[in-house]
Amino acid sequence: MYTNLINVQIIISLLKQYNIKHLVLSPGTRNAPLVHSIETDPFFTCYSIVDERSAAYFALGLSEAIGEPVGFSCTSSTAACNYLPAIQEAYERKIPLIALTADRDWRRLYQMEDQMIDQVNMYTGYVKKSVNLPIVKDSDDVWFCERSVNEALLELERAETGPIQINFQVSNMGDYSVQELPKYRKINRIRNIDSLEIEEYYRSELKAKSKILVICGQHYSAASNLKEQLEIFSDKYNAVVSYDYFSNIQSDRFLKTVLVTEAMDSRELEEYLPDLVITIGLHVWSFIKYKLQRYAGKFEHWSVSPNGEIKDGLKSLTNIFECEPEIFFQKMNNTNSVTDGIGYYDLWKKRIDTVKYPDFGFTNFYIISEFTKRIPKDSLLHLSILNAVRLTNFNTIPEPVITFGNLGADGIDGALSTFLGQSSVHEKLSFLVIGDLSFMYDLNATLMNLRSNQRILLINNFAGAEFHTNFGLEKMPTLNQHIAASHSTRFADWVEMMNVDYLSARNPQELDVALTQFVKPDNRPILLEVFTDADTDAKTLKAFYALNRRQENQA
Amino acid sequence: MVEKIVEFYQAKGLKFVVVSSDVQQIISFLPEKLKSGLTIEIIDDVRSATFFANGAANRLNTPVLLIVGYKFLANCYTGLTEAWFQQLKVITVALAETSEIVNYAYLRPCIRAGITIDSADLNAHQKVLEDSLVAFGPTLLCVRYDHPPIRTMGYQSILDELNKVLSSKDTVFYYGGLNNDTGYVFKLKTIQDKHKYGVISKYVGYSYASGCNSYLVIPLELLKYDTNIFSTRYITQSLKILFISDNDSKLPIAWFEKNSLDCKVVDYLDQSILSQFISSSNPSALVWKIDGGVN
Repeated sequence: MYTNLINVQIIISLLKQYNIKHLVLSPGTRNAPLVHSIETDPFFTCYSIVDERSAAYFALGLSEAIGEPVGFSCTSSTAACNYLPAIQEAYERKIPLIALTADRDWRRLYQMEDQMIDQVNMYTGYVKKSVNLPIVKDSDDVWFCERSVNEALLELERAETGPIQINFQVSNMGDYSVQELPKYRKINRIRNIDSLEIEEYYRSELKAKSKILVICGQHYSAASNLKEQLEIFSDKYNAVVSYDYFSNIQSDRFLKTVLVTEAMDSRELEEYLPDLVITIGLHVWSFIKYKLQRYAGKFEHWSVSPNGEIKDGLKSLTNIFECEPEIFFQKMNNTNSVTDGIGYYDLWKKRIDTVKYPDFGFTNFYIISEFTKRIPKDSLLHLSILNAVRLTNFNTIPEPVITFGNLGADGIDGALSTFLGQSSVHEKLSFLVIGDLSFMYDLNATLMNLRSNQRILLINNFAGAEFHTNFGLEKMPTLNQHIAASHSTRFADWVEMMNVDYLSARNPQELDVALTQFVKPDNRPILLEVFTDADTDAKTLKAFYALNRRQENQA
Repeated sequence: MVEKIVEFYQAKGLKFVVVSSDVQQIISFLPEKLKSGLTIEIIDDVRSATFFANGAANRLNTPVLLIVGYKFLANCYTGLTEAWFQQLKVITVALAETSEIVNYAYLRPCIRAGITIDSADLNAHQKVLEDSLVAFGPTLLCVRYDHPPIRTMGYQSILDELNKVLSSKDTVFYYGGLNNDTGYVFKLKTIQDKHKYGVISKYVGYSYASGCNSYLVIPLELLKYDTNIFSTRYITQSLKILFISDNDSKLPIAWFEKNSLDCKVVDYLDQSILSQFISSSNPSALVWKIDGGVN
């Protein structure tokens, strides 16, 4: 019989799946739910050593002898301190040990609680990974515990071996009413994709899936055959390859799913749900990630990443391939067999082909739409944040360009400086699309000597239009005071401090004239400031979403 | 030590270096041969410099060296946070005075490794340096380096002039090397170089909230660190800034005026000009243009 405490069940389930059998146990109450569960499970071989310092040293010797990771567990407080000398030695000698330290509810730390010290990260500097499991209260806690234990156990033998800590909080001691231990999700990290056996295994896994969705995150590599490999993969496995401009890989075969996913509600997404999501590249800005989360467990997620990090944002991660994506797809494409049918690709394609656009008026949507039509081939494009990012992706850039954005931390602050850095090493024309608030943040950077290939498209709607989209003046009459931070600044007044030619536009005719000059090579950098109204901008974006929700499409 | 570090990275193929202007003198100490193989960009604001380095690193897909003064390292925080997410190899060298206590614990979440190099022996840190070129994410190298003395504003005569027109109710914030207690009739608050970031923002907040008259006396070049504060709702009539400028500096007259500041540019200062400046019923900027600049 097993404990009913979910965080402890997760530890036990994953210890078993990682084939960690040997555990050295010291007496105590707080770790009893773990100890009693494993001592009655024949899978485990348990050893009893009272003094934790001796217990950890014993485990170290045991691990050396059997060549496997060994765990040890103790109650809370100073008991856990006793593990440190052996952990230090294990770290230096690269011995894989697992300290399973029982703890109390973190909220009670230093609040007259008995036997409680700060055990989180208590072995810093001498463990390869330390995780802290909360008392499970909801599905997010389960997800967090599952992921954390996987992260720790995967680290045991990554690159060099060494010790880890799994700290787990226990409040009430629960009971032992669970007859069958639930199987929690194991995450595998595959580092040797070069093995033919492994290659074949995952190819056969792929062939068993009929709905494969490859989501391409932010990615740029000047020399890569990723596009070609993805095209082959898409053909062979009938996979949908979802890209946006930050992926810097375009093909007629790939689909820009952001055109529909941002407007889709979660119920509609269920019809397009994949069996398998493969993610590549860095950050994915599309809200498809949040919508997929709602169906966690109904599909598998494989992540392909050169540094093998665990990104379980879809809450369904099962495999991490630690390699360059082009290598992964090359291996998976090494097959003659082609999956039958084109149903899944067609399903998405048909939906995307129905995308409609509202009447833009003279809004940021219109400006970006006109601009994207005219970006010259091989330009560099930096999109600052929010509307600059999404509206550009909702439009079509006909020619290949290199696209960047500070999507990682998604900050409003450094877009201009980053763009200046990028375009200083790009020979051809380089464009920044930026809003007024973002530009204001980085105004100091405008004092640098701009280069003649640099072009700044500044859409000034005198406020943070994002907040007009999120809240709207009708619902929040005070919106402009602090949240949208409205202002009356026109950057024409600052231009005398910059070495740029200044253009401005307030209507389609002026924009047309200005853009013609803006996208041409010149011997001077250009700042084009275009004025719109934040609330109208927000309403137009909402109209786009409304128009592309399914009910509107059907009507 | 900085030379050895730059030499090490150049030998490994690194070509792009971003230097913040507070430590740009370091470049002049590098041998010409070393410099000739590098693209070196000098940028004033350390936050901008960090983002600029990020931009170069992701466009070039190569490691980039960023050299900043340790005292302004906090301004790297936002840029390095983004660099961590984008796994950019931005190798940040922070030059710390021998007497400075180095603490970059706050950067731990956004750097893949950080070390302090105290000794002249770079070999002891070989692995960290090697890894910084191949491992994903930014690396921080804190290096001991004694900066040459900082230029401070040498226009104490301004204070003497102000002393003739101000009273004991007034406060003057002055960027320079004086002690606070100098026997002036007004309260003197000197601004140290290490506090030069946000100097105008701080003053706008002070002048907005304090009941008394206050004046900010700074070189115009400090505007480079705080340009955006002028687009604010908190400029009151009590805001009075005296900028000292060399003749070559561009002056943001239209920007000041659009942001409700009366702006006057003079090439000399006397009691009459200062009296007019302090008695103005509008927020005001007075720019004193001096031949030869501020030293």
